[in-house]
Amino acid sequence: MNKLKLTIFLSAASLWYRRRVLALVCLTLTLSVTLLLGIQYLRTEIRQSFTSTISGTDLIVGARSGQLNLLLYTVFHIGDATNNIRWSTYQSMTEDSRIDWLIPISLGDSYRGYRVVSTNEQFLAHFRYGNDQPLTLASGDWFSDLFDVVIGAGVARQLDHELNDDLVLSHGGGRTSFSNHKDLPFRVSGILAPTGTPVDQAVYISLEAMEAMHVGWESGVAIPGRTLSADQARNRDYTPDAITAVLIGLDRPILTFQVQRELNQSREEPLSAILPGVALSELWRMMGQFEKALLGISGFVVITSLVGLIAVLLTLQAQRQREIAVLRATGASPGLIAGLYSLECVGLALASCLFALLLGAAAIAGLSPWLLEHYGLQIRLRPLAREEWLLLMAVPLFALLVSALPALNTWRAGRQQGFGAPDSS
Amino acid sequence: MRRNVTPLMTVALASAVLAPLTAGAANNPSAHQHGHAELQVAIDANTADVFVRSPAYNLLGFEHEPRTEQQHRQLADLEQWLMSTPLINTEDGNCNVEDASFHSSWPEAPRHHSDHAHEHHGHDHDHDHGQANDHSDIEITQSLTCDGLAEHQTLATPLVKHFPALEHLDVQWIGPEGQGATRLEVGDQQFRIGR
Repeated sequence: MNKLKLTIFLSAASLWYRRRVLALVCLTLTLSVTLLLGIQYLRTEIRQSFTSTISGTDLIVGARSGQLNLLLYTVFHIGDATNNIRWSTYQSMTEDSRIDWLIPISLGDSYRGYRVVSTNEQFLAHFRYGNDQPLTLASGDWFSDLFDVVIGAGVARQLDHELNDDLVLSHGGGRTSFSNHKDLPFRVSGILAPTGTPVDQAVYISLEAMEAMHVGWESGVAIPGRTLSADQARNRDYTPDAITAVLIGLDRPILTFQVQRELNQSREEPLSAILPGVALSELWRMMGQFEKALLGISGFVVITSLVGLIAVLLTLQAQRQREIAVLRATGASPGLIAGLYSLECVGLALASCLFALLLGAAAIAGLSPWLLEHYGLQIRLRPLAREEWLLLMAVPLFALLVSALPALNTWRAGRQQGFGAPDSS
Repeated sequence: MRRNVTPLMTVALASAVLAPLTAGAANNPSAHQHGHAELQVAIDANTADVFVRSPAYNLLGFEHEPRTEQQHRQLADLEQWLMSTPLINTEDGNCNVEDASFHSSWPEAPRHHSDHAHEHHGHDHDHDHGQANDHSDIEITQSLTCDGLAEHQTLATPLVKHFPALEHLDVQWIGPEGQGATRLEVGDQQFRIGR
C-alpha cells in the first residue's frame, strides 16, 4: 500500500517536473484521439443523417420504376420521374380505409435551380424527418392563396428571401430557364425551419397553383393570350389530371407489405410502391464503400497515433536516464521504476482521452448550428456508442502495453546496474 | 452554391446504379433469380408476420412439379419444415408458429387435383406448365408469436443455413423502430432490426 502511494507521489512529482514537454505530448495525443473519435462519430452521424431524411412515411407510390429512382426523385430531389400517376388512382387510394394519410406530390418546375414541389397542407401535417420530427415554419404560414409559396430554409438563406418577396417560377428544371411563369408571380407566405434534409432545398406550392401556372401552355411554351391573369386564375377550379408521386402513412404499419403488394399489382395502372426505409437501407448498402473508406481512414489514424505514442514514450525514457539513476541511487527498486513508467503512460493517455472528449463535445456543440445552417448537415451531440467507448478505452490500454517496453528496459537496466556491488559500472 | 453536401454527394454516387424492381407487377412477370430470395418481416408488439418468396430451385433443387416419388417426398418434407419452423426467431428461440401457408406457383400434381390440372387443357396454349423450362416460385407466409419480441434488436433466420443453394437473402422489415433492409449472405443468420 505504501509502495503504491510512493509510486503515485513520485509519478506526480516527476510529471510536474517535466510539465512542459508532457503538455506537448498530451496535446499531440489529444489531437490524435479527437481525430480518431471524430471520424468514427461522423461516420455514424452521417449515416444517421442520411437515413433520417424521411421518417414515418410507410410507402411512396409513383409510376412503375425502380425503388431507388423513385426514392431519389421524391425525397432527394435527384433525377426525374419517367411517368406520372393518374389523379383517379390517387383518389381511389384516399378511399382505402387502411390508409391514414396521403401527401400528393407533383414535380417538374423549378425556381432558380431549386425544385418546385407542388403538394397540399398534408405535407406540413404529416411529413416527418429524423426521429419523427415534424416540419415547422420558421416564419409566416403555410400557403393559403393560390399564388402563395413556402420556401425551404436553404432556399431562403441562399437567395436571401424574406416573407412577402415575389418570386417567378421557371418552367421545367435547370438553373437558367428561358420559359418563366412571369405573368403569375408568387408571394412567399412562409419559410420552413431548417431540417438538414433535402426539404430545405425546395420551394412548395399548391397542386392548384401548379395547374393554374400551366393553363394556356403548350409544348412547354406559353401561348400568348391564352394564359391567365392572377385574378382570372383565382376564379377557376383546378383538379390535376396527374401527379408525380404519393407519400402514404398507414393506420397500422404492419400492413405495409400487404398494401405494397396490392399497389404493385394494381390493375388500374402500373405503379411502384416502395418502402422508403428499405430503399434508404439499400442505397446505404450500395455506398458501403464510402463507409469502408472512412473506416480505413480511422484505422490509419489509430496506427499513426499509436506509433507516435511509442516514439514519444521512448524519447521520454531517453530524457529520464538521470532521473532514473537518482531514483535507483536513493533505493528505488527496479519494479517501482517500471511501475512509474506505466503509470505515467496510462495517466497521460487517460488525460488525453478526457481532453479529446471535452474538445470533441465542444466542437460539435459549437459547430453543429453552423453546419446545419451552411451545409444542411445535421450533426447532433449524443452519448457515445459502444464502439466509440471501446475505441476510447483501447487508448489507455494500448498505452499500458506500449509503456511495458521502456518499463521492462528500465527494470532490466536497473537490475544490471547493481549499485551495491563494487564491480558495477 | 452550397447544398446538402454529404447526402447529395453520396446519393449521386449511388444513383448510377440501377435497382431491380422488388415486387411483382400487374403485367410484368416478377423477377426470378436462382440463389436469391426475399424475406419480409412485419413486427407488431409480440407478433410477427413473415413472408418468404424464393425460386423453387433454392429450396428443392428443381423447378417443375414433383414427378418421382422422391421429389414428392422432398416437397412434402419441405412443406412440413416450412410450416413448422419459425422462419425468424429471437436469440432465445421463443417464437412459435401460429399459422402458416405454403404456395407454389406450378399447378399441383395431377393425381391430387385432377380437375384443376384438367382446366389447363382448355387453354389455347398447349405447353405443359410443369415443364422443366418453366420457372416457379415458392411463397410461404407465417404468423408468429414471440414473447418479448419488442425488446429484441437481433433476429435470426434459419433459411440461409438450411438451404445451401440460397446465396443471398434480402431481408426487409417493418416494426416499431421503422423500416429497414439488409442482405444476408452464405453463413449469415442474424440481422439487426432498428435504424
